[in-house]
Order: sequence, then structure tokens, then C-alpha cells
Amino acid sequence: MENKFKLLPLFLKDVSKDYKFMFPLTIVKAIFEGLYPLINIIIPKYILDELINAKRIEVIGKYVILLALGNFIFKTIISISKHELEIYSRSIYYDVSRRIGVKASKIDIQVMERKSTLDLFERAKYGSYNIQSFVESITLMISSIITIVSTIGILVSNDWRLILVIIISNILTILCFNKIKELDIDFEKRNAPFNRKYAYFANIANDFRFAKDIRLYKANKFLLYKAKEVMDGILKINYTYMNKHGFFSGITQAIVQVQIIITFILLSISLVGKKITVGSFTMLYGAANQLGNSFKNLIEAYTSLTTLGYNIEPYYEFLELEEVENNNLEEKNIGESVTIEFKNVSFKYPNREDYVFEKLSFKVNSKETLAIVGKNGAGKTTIIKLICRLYKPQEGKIYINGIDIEQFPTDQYRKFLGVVFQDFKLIPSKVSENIICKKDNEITEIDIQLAWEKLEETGIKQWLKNQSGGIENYITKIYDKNGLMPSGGQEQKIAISRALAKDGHIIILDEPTAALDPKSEEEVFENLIKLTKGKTSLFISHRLSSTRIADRIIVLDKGKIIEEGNHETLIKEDGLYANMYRIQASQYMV
Amino acid sequence: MLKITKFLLKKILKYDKVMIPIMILYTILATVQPFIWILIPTKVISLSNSGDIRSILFYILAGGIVSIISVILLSFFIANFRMRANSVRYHLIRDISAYSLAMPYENLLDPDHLSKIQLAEEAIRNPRRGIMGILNISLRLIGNILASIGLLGLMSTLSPWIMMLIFTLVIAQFYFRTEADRFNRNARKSVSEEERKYFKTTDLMKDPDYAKDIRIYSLINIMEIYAKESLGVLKDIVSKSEKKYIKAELIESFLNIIRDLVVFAYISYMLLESKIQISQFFLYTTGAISLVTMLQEMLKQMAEIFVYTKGVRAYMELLESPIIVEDQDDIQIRTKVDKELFTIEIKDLVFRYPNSKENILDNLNLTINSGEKLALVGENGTGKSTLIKILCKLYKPTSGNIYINGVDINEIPEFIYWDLVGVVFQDALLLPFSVKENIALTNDIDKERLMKSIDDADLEHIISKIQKGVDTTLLRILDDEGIDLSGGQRQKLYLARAIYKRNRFLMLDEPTAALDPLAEAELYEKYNALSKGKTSIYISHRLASTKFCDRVAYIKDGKILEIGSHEELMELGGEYNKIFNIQSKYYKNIDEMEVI
Repeated sequence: MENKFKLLPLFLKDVSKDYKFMFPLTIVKAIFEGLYPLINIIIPKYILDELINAKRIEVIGKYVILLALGNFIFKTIISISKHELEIYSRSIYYDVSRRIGVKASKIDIQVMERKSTLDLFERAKYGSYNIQSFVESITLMISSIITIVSTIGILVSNDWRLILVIIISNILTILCFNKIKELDIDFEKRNAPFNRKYAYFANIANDFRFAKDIRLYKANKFLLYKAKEVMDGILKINYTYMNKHGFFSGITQAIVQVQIIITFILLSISLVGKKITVGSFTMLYGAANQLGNSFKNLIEAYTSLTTLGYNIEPYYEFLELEEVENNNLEEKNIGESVTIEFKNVSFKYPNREDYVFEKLSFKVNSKETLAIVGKNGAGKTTIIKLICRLYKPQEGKIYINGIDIEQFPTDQYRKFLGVVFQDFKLIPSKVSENIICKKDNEITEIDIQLAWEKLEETGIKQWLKNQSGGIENYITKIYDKNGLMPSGGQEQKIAISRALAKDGHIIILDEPTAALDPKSEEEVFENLIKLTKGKTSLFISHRLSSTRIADRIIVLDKGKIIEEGNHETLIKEDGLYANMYRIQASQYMV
Repeated sequence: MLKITKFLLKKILKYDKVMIPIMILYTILATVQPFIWILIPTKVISLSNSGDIRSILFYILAGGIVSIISVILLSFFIANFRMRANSVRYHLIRDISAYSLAMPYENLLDPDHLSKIQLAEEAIRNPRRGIMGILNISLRLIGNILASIGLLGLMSTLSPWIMMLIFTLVIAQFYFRTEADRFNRNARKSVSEEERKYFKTTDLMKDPDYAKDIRIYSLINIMEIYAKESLGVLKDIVSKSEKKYIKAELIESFLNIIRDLVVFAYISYMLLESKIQISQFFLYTTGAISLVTMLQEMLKQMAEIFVYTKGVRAYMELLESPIIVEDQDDIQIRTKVDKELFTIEIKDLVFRYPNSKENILDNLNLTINSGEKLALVGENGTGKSTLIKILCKLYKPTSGNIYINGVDINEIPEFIYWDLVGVVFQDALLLPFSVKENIALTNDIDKERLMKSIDDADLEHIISKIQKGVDTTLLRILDDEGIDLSGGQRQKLYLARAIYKRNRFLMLDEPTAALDPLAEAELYEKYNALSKGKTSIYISHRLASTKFCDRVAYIKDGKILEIGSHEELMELGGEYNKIFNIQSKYYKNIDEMEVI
């Protein structure tokens, strides 16, 4: 518990780096807010005493003006600082989700795909709602301390017994609040996984990728039924928790009331015994009441801050995840010719018993076009992920020009690779930005020319030219209402253009033509030799007509290379490749 | 405002009636509570000269006990209320999901509709703002309103003029504040628009599906710039709106000077003139301060509620928007349409996306005979998938007609029509549930049908290999033990889905794109067997698939360019012939293979 509270100074420090004026402004606001109640407690005493005793009009007038002006000045300063701070609060709230996103792009993909990480995302997101109250809670905490210290000063200077009452009652209150805080944290912990699931259902409902099937299969009732199961879980936790919460906060409030009553009795006795004036009585009474309120505020701020400490824990836990990017390594010179070599590589997915492949070895020669063929699930795509360093093999090593790929700095290594994944994704920004992978203000004329060139090579230039806005069009309507809605095949062409425009040493294509029509497919494969000229390239394809152009083909079955050679030799060998080819070919023989 | 109140009350009555008595009791206590510690001290001061310590103690203790009981109850009520409000919120989330799941598919193409959903979602997703904000605030607001009426009454016993003055000043302050509020409300739209972009961007950053491309192409840099641009816009709007509030509050503080001066001067004057007693001085000053605090708080609460109403209104509008109803069966139409024979006639079909000038489908005419297997062929982006979506009744044609067994498709309720079609889409998705739930897409699974569809789709050998068989969870989104399926396995599962569902008309949109040759050939055969005697449409770029179709329709520029059997089209020597040759030319040497 305690160390979670320790995250707050760290968070404050982090935030202060970006917003230098935030903390000083917080202090200013807290001081004025803390002293503000005193104006209306102290000045009326002097007015009242003057009214009862000397009755000097000009003195009363002075006090009344002092009161009014004091209120005005304090309120003004509080108001200005409050709204300035509000801007910081919002910014901090927004920043958190961006930081998480940026961090997410740097961690191990396997870690990212874990459910526990996804839970962490959700907890961090839920926590970010509370982060909005960070500035407010800090201010409230400091200002209530200031008020408490000054009201205690007023009370003690008049009646020392009051301090005893206050101390005892506040110890009791703090005990109750600790209990409430425990409840809060317990609740949060139990609720988070349910909340993530529930959010998942709510998201599916608005996800157009699911929308077609949901309608045609009338799956809406089923999804709502599933969502209800989760909801019932949430409600159960909710009910037990809130009743306890209500009970303890009731007790806390009652303790405050008892404190007021005792104070009040002590003051009344002094008043009747003429030990204090009516003015002092009202002032002390006001001070005692204010003290109760300020304690309430202090505890509220404290609770809110500890909850916050708990809430930013997943955020820091996430930020502390190990980054796989390593740019401290020395850049290696690999020259123009590039070979890729697998040596005894074994790999299995987490939570899976079976290896995708064990002790796999093969080599892609420099400037060679290698095709990988095999049944679904044979491990072809996994090979690509390993080359891309997205996954790490459990055993064995992968070498580029004889250098272990782990020895390259991340940035340098990624520059080698132009990849089109089977389930590639484009981002909702401009077409040009997607191809050049830079923001438009960094894109030069030469880049644009390059992009058009690649779009032409993949055969989508004409279509894009026909759209008003051309290469400046956004993809999808997320950033721009007039964004393009390219079909699957068109997206694939853009993705291939992106891989080619990168101009790395290695080109990797995982089923590059799956969504393409025959003409485009032909174009892509005809061009493939031209496009990958001078590059070491690797592609996966189920179209065995296309594998003819490969210099070499390896056939993968159950994680092992069972055949190897070019198209002609493999046909001659009459193995799996020949069999698959025959089946495919027979379909075209009418 | 009245509509929203009515709406919320209705929802409360529907999901948690107990909230109503809690609200009433809370309101009564919250009204009385502030008076206790104003009235008791007044009494004590007035008794202090008499020295009657016993009466004083009696009043303090009596007031104290009432106060203790009421704060305990208040805390309990508020916690209970919050809990119940929160559970109502979860129900409301479910209601909007139910809406989204059943709204016309076309709404997903309409950005305005999407922002409305976003606005409504915001109103219910946040546990502090939106509907929760309204519920929690209004509870306190009602107590405040009643208590301030009491305080206004109290102040009017001092002087109706003073009461009027306080009241007028607060109204004036409210007036200046509404200006800022109005600005804030109007800004809200651009804020939520920009927030949508911002959070969409940050969500994509951490979306596992995007992770590979983000890494390889360093896309995070672009995304971060986009996020920062949105952030700049957001900060700008927020700071403008906060400046308006500063201005309003300066005026407020200034008006308070007048209030303080007049009220204190007047009360002091009354005391000096002995028109009131010292205890009353206490009563009225405390009363005046409480009244002002309460009124201001009230106005702020009202303003805050007002900010949230926009989202709630969007929410209400959505729930009232048309959805695809499920409980109206039209026997007449059903008997006409739901027949063994299933003929489709498409006449002069035109389709373009809203806000677009380009016709995706352009006067397309096509008749599909009952029991006929039709292959749809054409280049990327020629409108094949769009045609399927229209035939699924997901999109409405821009113009033209489609007749199913002679009945205009527009007259067939979706609910009936969807019973008749089976579809496997190009971009179908797995849900993170068990295998069997993914096939049946219902919680009420017919075992026999399940087994038959698994059999027919040839899923058996996949299922037998996994530990929990059909109960195995797919994907790791909701279950760490979940498993993923390969492309081919997925396709088979989708096929099983289509088989499990009864249908008269089958559509397959590129189901074999990701399959290896063996699996592909196998699936062709499966499909051939399954669609025997069934009206069906098949889209594929693998032209080999056209072989087992009765007719091939070649689409170009949104029109049918060539139509006929494979042989006829080959004979014709047109576009189809050309692309078929392109694809098959590499397989031509099959004869020499046979020799081997």
C-alpha cells in the first residue's frame, strides 16, 4: 500500500517536466483556498463584538468593507488558478493514453498479446479517468492542511481542551477511512477484469468488422446474453461493496458530528460563564465547524490520492515493461549482398506444448528469391515473424550475413526489412504517409515521386489518380470524413507499395496476392522479379503458379523442410509440392 | 430537460425501483440537515444570558442526535444510490449495445451517426460523468433546492428586500455563467470529435493487430504526430472555454462585494437599532452565507447537468432510432419467399456510398435462377462485395430493384430475409468464445445440428486435436488458455457457421483466399456438395472455382460485362477468357506432369 503512494511524487515529477507552472500554481491556489474560510470566520467576530460593545459605525464599516474585499480578492485568485489548472488536468489525462500507446509500440509483441497485458491496458485506461482529479486532489490536500492548522490555532488559543477532542475524533476518522480505502482497492481489483470484458462487448457492438455477421447470423441476442453474464458479475461485486462503503462513511460522518457536539458544549459553557464573548463564540463555533469540514476534505483528498496512487500503478507497471528495442548496440556494416540463415531454430508459442518447428535450418542466399510453400499451419508465417525479430526463438539463432540478428540495433535492423504481412494493417492517415511512413510535412517531392512509382508498380496508381485528392487522401474516415474506403485488394496493393518504397535489403511477402484479382496477381508476380531485383527476398504463396519464378522453393510440413529445389526439380521429385501443384492445375483443366 | 427526466425515471423504474424511495428519503434529510446547525447555535446564544445551562445542553444534544442519525442515513443512502445508479448504468450500456447490434448496417457508413454513438457512449461509459453525473448531481440538487427555499423563507423574515437582493444577484451571476456554459457546450462537439480521433489513434497504438506493422514501419512516429496535433486542438478549445469561465467568475466575485456589503450593513444596522437580537444576528448572517453558497452550488450543479444532457440526448435519440425489429413476422411474405425455389432478379441496380458521386454499381441487371450456382468474377474494387452486401440486405440500393421470388426485397423484413441467407464473408471474424458458440452464435445450441455442421465443414479433425474439443475457447482476449486458428481452420469454422444456420441462398465471398492448395481443393468440393440444388453465389479470384458454377458473371465498372457458362465465356474470347488464361497459363504443362 505504502509504496503505491510513493508513485505520486514520481508522477508529480514526471508531469512537472512537461508542465513547469503546474506545481507552483497548485501551491498558490492551495494557499488562498486554505486561508479563504478564515475571512468569514474571523472578521464577523470583530463586527459582532463591536456591535455589542463600542458600536462605532466607522469601525464596523471598515470591517464590512474588509470582509467584502477580502472575499473578492481571494475568490478571484482562486478562480484564475483553478481554471488554469483545469487545462493541465485535461492535458495530463490525455497524455497518459498517448504514453501508453507509444510504450506499447516498443514492447515485445508476445507480451502485448497476453491477456494479462490487455488487462493492464484496461486498468491503466480506467485509472486515467481518475488521473483527471490528480491536480484537484493535491490542491485540496494542501489547502485543507492550511485551513486545519490555522483553525486549530484559533481554537487552541482560546480553549486547549478542544485540541484533545479534535485529535481523538480524527484518529477515529482516519481508521474508518483506511477501511474505506481498502474496500476501494479491493473493489477495483475484482472489478477490472469484468470491466475489460464488458468494455469488449460494448466495443464489438460498434465494430463494423463484426457488424455483417452479427446481423446475418442474428448473433445480437447471443452477444447480449454473453454480456449479461459479465454484467451480473459486476453487479454482484458492486452491491456488496457499496453497502459496506456506505456504512463506513456513515460512521465517519457520525464521528465528525460528535466532535462538533462536544466542541459546541464546551463553547456554550464558556459563553454562559462569560469566559468568551458572543463574537468569540460564533468565531470559535465557526472554526470548529470549518475544522470538521477541512478534515473531511483532507481525508477525501487523501483517499482520492491513494486511490490515484493505486490507479496509476498499472500505468507505471506498464511503463516499466521491458522494451525490446535496443539501439545501444553498434551498427553493423552488412554491405549490399545479404544472406539470411536459420541455424537449429526451435520455436513454440507461449501456452502451447507443441513446437511449431524444432531445429529448423535453412539459408536464403544473397539476392535470391525464396518461396516457402506448405499447408496451412505448417509454420510459414512464424518464420517471417522470427526473421522480423517480432518473436524470439527458444533455441538456435538466425543470422544475417553471419551476424546474429539480435546483435543489430533495432532501428538499423528494421531498415533492412520491407514486409507485407498476411494480416497487414494500414493506418487511417494519408495514402502518402502510409507509403513513405513519414508525416506529410516531412515528405519531400522525391518521396511523393517514389510513392507514385511504387503505386504504379503494384497497379493501383490509376485508381488513386481518379480519386480527387489522389495520394493526399486519407484511408478510412477516421481522420477525414471524405477518406477513401479501399477494398481488400486495393489495401493490399498499397501495403505492397509501402514495403517496396522502404527499399530495404530484404523483401518479405506473406501471401501478397491473396486478395488480388487475377490480373493484379499476374502483375505483382511478373513484377516480383523486377521489384525484388538486387534484394534478398522471401515469399509465401499458395499459388503454385507463382512459385515458379522463385529461384528456390522450400516445402514446409509440420515444422520440417521436406522438399527443396526449384519448380522443375520439385515437380520431378513428385512429392507434396508436385501433388499440390497437380491439384491446383487440374482445376484449370476443363 | 423534462424529457430527460422522464427518460431517466423510466429507466430507474425499469431497472431499480428502490432508487425512488431512497431518493425521496435522501432529499428530505438533506433538506433538514443544514438547518440543525444554524438553529441550535441561535437558540444557545439567545439562552446564554439566562445562564440556563441545562436547557442549552438539552438543545445541543437533541440537535446532535438528530444530526448524527441523519448523517449516517445520508451516507448510507448516497452509497446505496450510487451503487444502484451504477447498476442502472451497466444496464444502459447493454441497451445501447443492443441498439448498435440491431441498427441498420448502413448507419456504420454515416460518420454523423457514428459520432452520435460516440457521444452516447461517453454519456454512459464514464462512471463519474454523463448519466452518472446527472443522477448523482440531481440527487444533491433536489436537496439543495428545497433547503434553499427554506433559507429564502428564513431570510424573508429579516427583510424580503434582502432576500430579493441575494436572489437577484445569484440569478445575475448565473446569467454570466451561462454564457461560458454555452460556449463550453458548443465546444463539446468539437472536443468529442477531436477526442474520438485522439483516442482512436492511441487505441491503434496499442492494438495487437497493428503491432507488427507499427514496428516494422516505425508507424508510431506518424501516429504520435497525429495524436499531438489532436492534442493541440483539444488544449486550445479547453483553454478558450476555461478563459470564459474565469471571466464569468470575476463578474461573480464582483457582484459578491455588493452582496457582502449590503447584507452585513443591513444586519448590523438592525442590530444597532435593536430591531433584532444578537442571536438573530448569528442566525441571519449564517443563513445568508449558507443561502449564497447553496444557490451558487445549485447553479453550478444545474450547469454541470446541462453539459451532460447532450450525451444523454444523443443516447435517447439512438434508442428511439429505427432498428431491425425481430418480432414482427409477416406470414404472407414468409410463405411467398421461404420456398424451395429461390429466384433472384436484379433490375437496374445502382449503388453509391452516401456523399460520393462515384457509382459502385451502375445499372446492373442480373437474374439468378433457382438452384443455380453463379460465380462473380472481376477486378478488385469493381463492386462484387458491395453486390453481396446489397443481396444480404445490409445496404439499400441507391436505385433499382431486387426481387426475391418475385417479392421486392425492400418489402421483406430483414428478420425474415436473414433466415434465408447463409454467407461467409471475406473478413469474417472469430469471437473470443468457445468453438461451438462460434459456430452456432447462440447460447441455445442444437447438438445435432452442431455435429452435422462440424462434420460437413470437415472441422472434426481439428477439434479432436484440441484439449477441450468444441468447448475450447478461441482467442486469448477473454481467456489466457484460448487458442488461435490458422487461416484454413478459420475458413472451415466460418463454413460450419453457414451450415449450422438454415439457409436457402448461399453466398461465399473469397473463402479460399488464405488456403493452401490442398485445403482449397477440399473446400471447393465441400462447397460443391453443400450447394447442390441451392441458389448460390461465389466470389473468388481463383478462377478454377468457376468450373463447378453453372454460370459466370464478369463484372466491370459496376456492370455485368459478360455472363454465361465457363465454356461460353471462354468461347466468347472476352475479358473473362483473358484473365482465365492469365491465371491458368502456368498450369498448362500439366500434361507433361502426367507423363512423370
